[in-house]
Formats: sequence, structure tokens, C-alpha cells
Amino acid sequence: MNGKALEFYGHYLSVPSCKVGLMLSMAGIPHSYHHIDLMTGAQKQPEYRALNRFAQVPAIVQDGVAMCQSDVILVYLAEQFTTLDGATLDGATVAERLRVREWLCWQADRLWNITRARSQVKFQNGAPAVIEQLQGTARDALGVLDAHLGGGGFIVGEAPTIADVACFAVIAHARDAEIDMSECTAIAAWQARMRAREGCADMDEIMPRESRG
Amino acid sequence: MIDLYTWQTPNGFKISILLEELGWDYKVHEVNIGKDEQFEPAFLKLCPNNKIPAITDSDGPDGAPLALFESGAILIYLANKAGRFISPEPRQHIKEIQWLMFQMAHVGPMLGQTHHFRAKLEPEISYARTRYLRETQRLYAVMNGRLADSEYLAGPEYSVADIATWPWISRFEWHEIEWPDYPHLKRWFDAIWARPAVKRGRAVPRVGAIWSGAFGDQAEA
Repeated sequence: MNGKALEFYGHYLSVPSCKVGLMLSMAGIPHSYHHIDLMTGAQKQPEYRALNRFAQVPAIVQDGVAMCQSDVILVYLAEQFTTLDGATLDGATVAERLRVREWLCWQADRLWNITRARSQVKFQNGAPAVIEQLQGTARDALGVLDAHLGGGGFIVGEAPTIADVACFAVIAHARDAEIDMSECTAIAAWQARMRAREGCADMDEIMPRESRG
Repeated sequence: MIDLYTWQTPNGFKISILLEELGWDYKVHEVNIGKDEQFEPAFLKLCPNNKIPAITDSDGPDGAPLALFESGAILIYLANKAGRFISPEPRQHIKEIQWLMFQMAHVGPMLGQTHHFRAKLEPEISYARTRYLRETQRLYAVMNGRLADSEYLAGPEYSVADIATWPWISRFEWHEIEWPDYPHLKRWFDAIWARPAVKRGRAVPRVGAIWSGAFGDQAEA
């Protein structure tokens, strides 16, 4: 066990929360979970804003330090923790770590159109033209990743990293965004390789619906 | 053929759940109340009160088409037509109507006000929020007490009274309740949610938009 008490604040329908939830699960990091009820605006309450000035989920607290922005949290966790079997979820070399961060930022920029489309489809009854535009840019991003993964392995190297964790959590929501994934065969094979890893599962299993110790 | 004009709200779910329970063929017409489609002239012809749900039945009581609004009236009409989920036996029948009216007069209107005020954070709204939340929780206690003695709201059988009430309770996350305080209501809630027809009806016309308020303001990153 290499984790000190870590507090995780999130919501099960939030994709960035899922990224952090998946990371904690795959890295085997012990933590307490706090459900932040976005329905009641809990993220806007002063006690939560003290953890996250942007009033967003997720956030984590470790050793009295609060952190937000899911991708920053992933980088922090990758640098702080190894998995239970001694592996790291970061690149093995400086060059690999650079590639991991490039893909992580790409995920936040291009792949994130999946989440934007999902938000319009699932939550906001968005205008059809807006949804189609977002689905189109999301499909473009999926095409880029599918081509990259055609050679097998993981996004950077032969083991999963936080780039895989983030992309896996985002792509898990493509169905909500009504995006057809049937042509993304390399992504499907990579998803299967991810699922075979300890701690990786569907988001329903990863994210609790209530707080737990 | 039934045409159902609806949106993903508790009153809409009542009718889609009953139609799914009956296994009848029906056609769904979305009336997006987020876009004020309930005020469009074509819908106002069906329901002058500009509220979903409404139905038309091409095969009305006399064989002629019938248009109907008010979810409680629609439930009674469809259940009577099918001869299911409403008892012909007078004593049981009026119990079912009683609990259906309890839903129409109390559960729907009071929980509806709770939903309306819940997202408002302005201090001057706190009186309204507290009032309706308290009333909501009082109604939870009333139903929990009833269900301590009865399998379903109106008696041993699942009826239109349950179909009318369950969709409102399915938004329990908004009611600031603790389920352990209402064990009998929870038992009833879970039993109804276990019915496949309820799961299907709860997803008509589409899943998800009930969350729009929370995810409409960039609540995640």
C-alpha cells in the first residue's frame, strides 16, 4: 500500500469524475468517495468551493492539499503512485512521459468533443445542428486515435498510462453522445486490452452513486 | 391506436408506464416543454391547459376518436378500457381512485413545487424551498405509513394509484430524504422499479434530460 488517505469528490455522470475514478481504481489507490450532488448545486456551496475554486467536479484532497482539473489530478496521481503490482501509469522515460502528456492534452482538446456532444444530447436538448457539428468533430478525433492504435499496444508504449485512462473514460460515454463507433475497430480492441487490466471496468462499476468511506 | 403527447416528466411517465404495462402499440410525440412546444396551437387543441401528457385514441368509447388530457383521467380511461390495473369491485375500485386522487392533489403538486424551487439558491427563496420540501417529506411519511400495512397503495394489487405515484418518487434524489427513514416506501419503490415495463416507460420519450439543470452550467472539468 503506497497511498495515504485520499479524498475524492465527484459525480457519477461527470466524465472528468470518471477519469479520476478510473485512475484511482487502476492504480489501486485507497480513498474515500464523496458524492457531490450537482442536482442540488452542492458544487457551489462554500465548503466545496474551498476545495475547488471553479465550483466543478472532480476534486481530490491529499495531505490537506486540494486539487482540481481532472487531467492535472491524473498527472499528479501518476507521479505520486505506482500500481499495486509495481507498475506506473506514466511513461517510463522522459520522452514517453512527454508523449503521454501530449495525448492527455489532445484528449482534453479534441477527444473532449465526445463529452460536449453527450452534454447536448443527454442533458441539454441541444439544437440538432449543434449536436451534429460536435459529433462530427468527435468522430474526427476518434479516427485519429483509431489510426494510432492500429498497431496494437496502448497509446504510449506497451502498458496503460494516464493517457489511456483519460481516453478510455471519455470514449465510454460515446454511446450517450449517439456516436457510431462501429468503424473504430482498433479502439474496440484497445478497449478490450484495457478491460483486461486490473481495476479497469465500465463506468457504472467504477463510479459510486453515493458517498462511501 | 393511442397517440401519446409527452415529455420526460413524472406526469408523462405515468402514461408511458401504463401503456408499457398494457403492452399496447402506441405512438410517441415529443412535446419539448424546454422549448415551449406545449404552447403550440396543435397541442393546445388537445390540451387547453398547455400541460403534458395528452392522448388521442382513434378508437374511443363510441368508436369515434377521443382526445384526453389530465394524467389521472388518462390513467383511468386507459385502465378501464383495458380492464387492468383498476378493479371493477366497488370497494377496491374507490380505494384505487382515492389514492390516485391523493397523488393528483398532493404528491404531484407539492413535489412539483419542490422541484421548481430546489435549484434556486437565492436567500429569499429559502422559505418556499423549505415549505415544499417539508411537505414533500410529510407525504413520504404518509405513504410510508400506508405501505407498512399494504403491499401497494390501494391494497394488495398494483394499480393506477401506484403507476401515478411512482414516477414522482423516482425523483427522490431531489427530495433530500434518507431512505432508511421510509423503509416501506423503499420496498414499494424497488418492487415497482423491478418491473420491466416501468423501466421502459420511464425512458419515454428519451432518457436523461431531467439532468439538464445540473449539467447546463459547466459543473465539471
